[in-house]
Amino acid sequence: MNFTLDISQSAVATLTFDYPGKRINKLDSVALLELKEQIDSLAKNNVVKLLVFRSAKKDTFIAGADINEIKDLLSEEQAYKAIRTGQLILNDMSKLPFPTLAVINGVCLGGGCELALACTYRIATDNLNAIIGLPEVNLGIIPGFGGCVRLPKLIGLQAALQLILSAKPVPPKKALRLKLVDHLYNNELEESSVADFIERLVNEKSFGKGLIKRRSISSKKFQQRILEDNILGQKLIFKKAKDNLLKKTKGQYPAPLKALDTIEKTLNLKTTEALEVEARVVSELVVSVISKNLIQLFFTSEALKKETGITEAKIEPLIINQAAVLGAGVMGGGIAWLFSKNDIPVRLKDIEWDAVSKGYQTAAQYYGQLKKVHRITENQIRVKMNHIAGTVNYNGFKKINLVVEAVAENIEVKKTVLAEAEAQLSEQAILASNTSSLSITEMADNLQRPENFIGMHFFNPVNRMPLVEIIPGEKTSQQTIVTLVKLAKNAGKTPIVVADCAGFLVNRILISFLNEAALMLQEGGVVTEMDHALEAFGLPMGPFVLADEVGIDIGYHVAKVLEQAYGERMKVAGLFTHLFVDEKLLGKKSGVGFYLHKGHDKSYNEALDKIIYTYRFSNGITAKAFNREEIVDRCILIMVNEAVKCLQENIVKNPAYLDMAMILGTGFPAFTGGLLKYADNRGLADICDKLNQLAALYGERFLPAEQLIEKANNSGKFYN
Amino acid sequence: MKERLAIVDGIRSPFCKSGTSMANILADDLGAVIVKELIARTEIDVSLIDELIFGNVGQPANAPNIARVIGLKAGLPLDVIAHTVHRNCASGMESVTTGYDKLLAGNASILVAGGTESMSNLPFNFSKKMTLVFENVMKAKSLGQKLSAISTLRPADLKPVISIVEGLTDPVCGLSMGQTAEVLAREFAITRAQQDQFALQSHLKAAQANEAGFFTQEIHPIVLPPNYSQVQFNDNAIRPDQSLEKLAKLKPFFDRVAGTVTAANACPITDGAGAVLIMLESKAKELGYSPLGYLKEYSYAGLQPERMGLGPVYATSKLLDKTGMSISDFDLVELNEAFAAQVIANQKAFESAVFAQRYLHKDKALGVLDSDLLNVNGGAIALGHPVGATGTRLIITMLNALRRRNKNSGLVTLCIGGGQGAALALEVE
Repeated sequence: MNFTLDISQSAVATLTFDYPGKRINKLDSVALLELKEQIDSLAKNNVVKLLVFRSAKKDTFIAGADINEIKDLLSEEQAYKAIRTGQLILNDMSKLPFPTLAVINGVCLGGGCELALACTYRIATDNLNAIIGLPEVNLGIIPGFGGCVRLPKLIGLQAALQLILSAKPVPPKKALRLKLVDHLYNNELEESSVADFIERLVNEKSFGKGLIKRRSISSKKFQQRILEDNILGQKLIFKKAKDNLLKKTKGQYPAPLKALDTIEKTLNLKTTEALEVEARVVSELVVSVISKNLIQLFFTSEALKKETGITEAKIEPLIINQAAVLGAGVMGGGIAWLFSKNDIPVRLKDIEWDAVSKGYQTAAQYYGQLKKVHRITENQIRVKMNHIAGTVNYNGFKKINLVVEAVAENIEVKKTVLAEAEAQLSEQAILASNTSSLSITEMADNLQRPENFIGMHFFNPVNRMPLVEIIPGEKTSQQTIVTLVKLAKNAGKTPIVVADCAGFLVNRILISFLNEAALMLQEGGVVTEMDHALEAFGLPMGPFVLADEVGIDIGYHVAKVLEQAYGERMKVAGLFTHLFVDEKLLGKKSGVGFYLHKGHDKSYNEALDKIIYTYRFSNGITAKAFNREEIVDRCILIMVNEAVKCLQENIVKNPAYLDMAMILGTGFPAFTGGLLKYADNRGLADICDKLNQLAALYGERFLPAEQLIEKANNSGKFYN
Repeated sequence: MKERLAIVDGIRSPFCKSGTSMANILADDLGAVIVKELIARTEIDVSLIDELIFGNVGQPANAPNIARVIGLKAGLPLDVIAHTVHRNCASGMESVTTGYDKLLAGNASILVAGGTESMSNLPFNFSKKMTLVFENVMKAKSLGQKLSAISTLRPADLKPVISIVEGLTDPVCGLSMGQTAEVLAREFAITRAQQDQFALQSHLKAAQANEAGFFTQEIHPIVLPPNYSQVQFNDNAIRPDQSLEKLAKLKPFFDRVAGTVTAANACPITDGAGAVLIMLESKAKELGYSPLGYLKEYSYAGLQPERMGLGPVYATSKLLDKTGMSISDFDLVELNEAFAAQVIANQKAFESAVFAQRYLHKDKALGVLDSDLLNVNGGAIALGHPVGATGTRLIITMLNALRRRNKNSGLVTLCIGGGQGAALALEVE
C-alpha cells in the first residue's frame, strides 16, 4: 500500500504517500493506480473540505517518476499510454470538488513536482536541503504529467522556461520567490506550523484567496507583465530562449528544444488539449536513443555515488582532516583550493615562496569565479583562503593525514619528492600522486609504506573538472583506496578507480585520439576542417583546439610515455614531434599553437600551412583529402578500440564507468552515452567492419580488439 | 620563587609600514596565518591547547573578540576558547603575562599568546552628527521626512573622524602620543640632533641585523592578498641608507613651531602580528620541548598620561624590586622605540638619582642602560610598531638576540599610551 487516507473530524482529508520498502517516494505505475483509486473515491466525497497531500518519508516529498519504468518504455504507443494515464490521474486530482494542498517536506522533483503543481496550494519546508524542480530534460525527455502546461500558468512564462530548460531545481526560498510555492514553514516546527496553516485555510475564507491573489498577474513585476501578457512579447521570449538553447546545446540535445516548442504550442490552449500535446511529445522523446543514453548515464552516476572503490564492505575509510599538497603549480594550487573549499586545512609546499604564491593565485582565482556568480562571499573567501598555509619546509607534516604530490611530471623527481615527504609523515598518513600517466607501482619503489601510496589524478582545471582517477598500485591497501574514494566524493568530485597502466584510463584513450588527428593532419588533413568535423560530432573541442588548451608540450610528453608503454600502435605522429621539438609550438600558454591566441579569441595559425607543407614534402607524403565521415571514423573509432582494450585489461570496472570517465574527464558528448554506448548504438558488427577497413588502409592499430570481435560475432553489446 | 614561563617558540609576520604591502590583509587574517604557522612549527597537538589569548589595539568592528576569530581561522578546535586583551602598546605582551597568570593559577596548561595589528585598516568614521542624520533618514517614512532629515546636514559634518588619530590621542590629557614625546624632550632637554642620531643608529643596527639574516628565524613570510602575486619576506620600514642629512630635512610634526620630534625620529605606523606558544617550564619539559626561552617575572606600572613615554623606568623599578635583580644583571635590553626622544629620556631617567628619589622613592639611580646593549638589532623606529603586536615581537626578538650572542638574561620594557609601562625579565637557560 502506497497511500493511506485519513479524514479528520474537521473534514480535512490527509493522503499520505509512503512507498513501501524505500527511503524515498516515487511515482511508479502501481503507485499511480493506487492514487487513482484514492482520487476517484475522494471525488465522490461531499464532506471533505480540503485534501492535504503529504509524504511519510523524511526529507523527501516525491523524488519523481520511476526511471526504470521510463527506461523500459520501447514503443511510442506504449509510452503514450503510460504517460497519459499518469497525466489524467493528476488532472483528476486538480479537478476535485474541494481545494488540495501539497505539503512539500523535502526533495520534490519531476513527477513529484508535477503532482504538487496539480494541487490548489503548495507549502514547503524551509530546510536548506530541500529542492523543487523539473529536471526531465537532463534525461532527454520533458515534463509529461502536466508540468509544461501548469508551470507557465503558475509562475509566468520566463520563470517556467528557466526552470524547465535549465533542469535546475530550486531551493525553498527561491521557490517561494518564484511563487512556485505559496508559503514556507519552519522545518523544525513542522507539525504545528503545518497544522496552523491548514486550520487557517479551512476556517478563514480570505486566507486561501489571499494566497492565490499573491500569485496573480497584478503582483507580477511590470517588466514581466508587459512581456508575458501579449503574443508579441511571448514570441520574443520564445525566440530568445531558442537562440540561447541552440547556442548551448549546438542542437545536439533535442529535449530542451522540444520542451520550449511544447510550451509555445500549448501556452494558449485549454488544459485538456494542452495535456494531450504534451503527452505526444514526451512519448516521442522517451523512446529516442538520446533519452536512453542519458538515462543510462543517470544510472551510472547513481551507481558511482554508491561505489566505495573496493569489494570488502567492512573496511571503513579514514578521516582526512589535515592535508598537504607538494608543488604549487596550477594543479597543486587547484587541489589546495579544493581542500580549502571543503574546509580541510592544507599546507601548500613548494621549494620557493615565489612558486608557493602561484598556488595561492590559482586558489584565489577559483574563488573569484565563484564570487562572480554569487556562490560565495568575500568573508567566506577570507575564511577559506586561511585554510591554505604556504610553506617551503615540512613543518607540521607529522599531523597531516594526506599528502597529494603534484610536482613536475618526471618519475625520478617524483620518486625523490615522495620518499622525502614520506619520511616526514606519520605511519598512517596517505601519500598520493597526481600523476597523469606515470606508473604508480614504479613510483612506490622507494617508499617504506607502499600500501599507503596511491594515484589520485585530477583534471585541469580542478575547480571545473568533476573526474578524479583513483589509481591503486600493486601494493596499495584497500583502506587507502576506500579513503580516497570517499574523500573525492565528499569534495564533490566523481572518483573512478582505474588500474595502473601508462596514461591510466582517460589519457590513454584521449592520446590515441590526439595522435590519430596528428597523423591525419600529416597525411593531408586540414586543422580547421578536422576541428569542425569533430565538434559537429559533439566533442566540446576539436583535437587541435584541445591540444592548444592542454599544451602541446604536455600532450607530447604524455604521448611519449604511452609510445614507450604500448609501442607501435601509439607511435607518436612524426608531425606532432616536429611541431613540438623543432617548431617549439606550445599552444595557448605561449599564444602560438595550431591557433594564434589573443585573450579569449583565437584564429588559425597560418604559418602552420608552410610548416606542414614542408614536412609533407621532405617526408615524401602526398596530401590526401578527407571527408567528415572519414575524420570522425578515424578519430572516434581509434578511441573505441582503445577503450575496448582497456576493458579487456580490466583497467576499469565496467563499460558504464569507462563511458562516464570519458564524459567527465574529456567532455565526450553525453548525448552519445559515451564511447562504448556509441559503439553499441552504432552496432558492433558495423564498428568491426569499419575498423578492419581502416586497418587495411592505415595500419594495424585499427585492428579490432578481441572483445569487440567476440561481441560482434555473438551480436553482443557492452550494455545489457 | 614561582615557576618560570616557557616560551616554547615564537614567530611573527614581517612588520610593514601601513598602507604598503600588507595593507590588504586584515588583522584577524594576519594573526591566523601566524598562529597556524606557530602550530605547525611547534607541532603541538592542538587538542592540548587550552586557550588563545591575543592582543589587539584597534579592534576591528568586523572581528569582535578578534582572538576568537583568529583561533577559528587558524584551525584551532572549536572548544579552544579565546579572548582578546588590550593594554594599548603592550597588548602583545599582556597576552603573554595574562597567560602566565592563568597557568600559575592552574586554570590552563598550554596557551597560544600573541598580538596583531593592521593599522592600515583602522577606519575613517562618520561624525556623530552625520550618524544621527543617517539614523533619521532610515527612520523616516515619507520622502518629505527623508529630505528634511538630510537638509540638516552641514558641510562640516562630512569631515570624517579618523580612528587612528583618535586612537593615538590621550583622552585624559588631550595630548597626542607625539606630543607626549615633546613633553619628555623638554623635561630632559633632548635636542633634535640627539634624537636624529638615535634614529639613525636604529636603522643602521636593524639593517645590519636584517642583512645578517637575524630576523629570518622569527619571520614567517606572508603571501599578499588580494592578488597573492607578491610575498613579503622582510620588515619594510628599515632604511639601510638612512643618514643624518636625510633626517635633518624633516620638519617637526607634533609641535610645528619649536618641536624636535619628527616623523623620522618616531616609529612609523605599522601592520604586523606575532605569536608564541607558552606553558610552564615543567610542562615544556614533560612534552620534550627545548623552549626558545623563559619569562621569569614581569611588572606593569602607571604614571601621568602626558609622561607615558617614561613607563619603562617605572615598570623596571618595580621589576627590580620584585626580582631583587639590578640593571647590571641584564645582558641585553630591549626598550621599545616609540620615539627617539622617549628612549633617550628613559636612559637619562634610569641613570638619574634625582629622578629615582623624586619619582621612584629610591635613594639611588636604577642604573645605566648601556647603549651597546640596548636594542642591539634596532628598534621600532626602524622596524615599526604595530601596536598590538610589538610586545610579542620584543619577547621573540630578545630571546633570539640572547641566543645569537650566547647571553642569558634580558630586560624587555615598553612604554604604554595612557600612562603605563611594562617590564619583563627574560632568560634563555
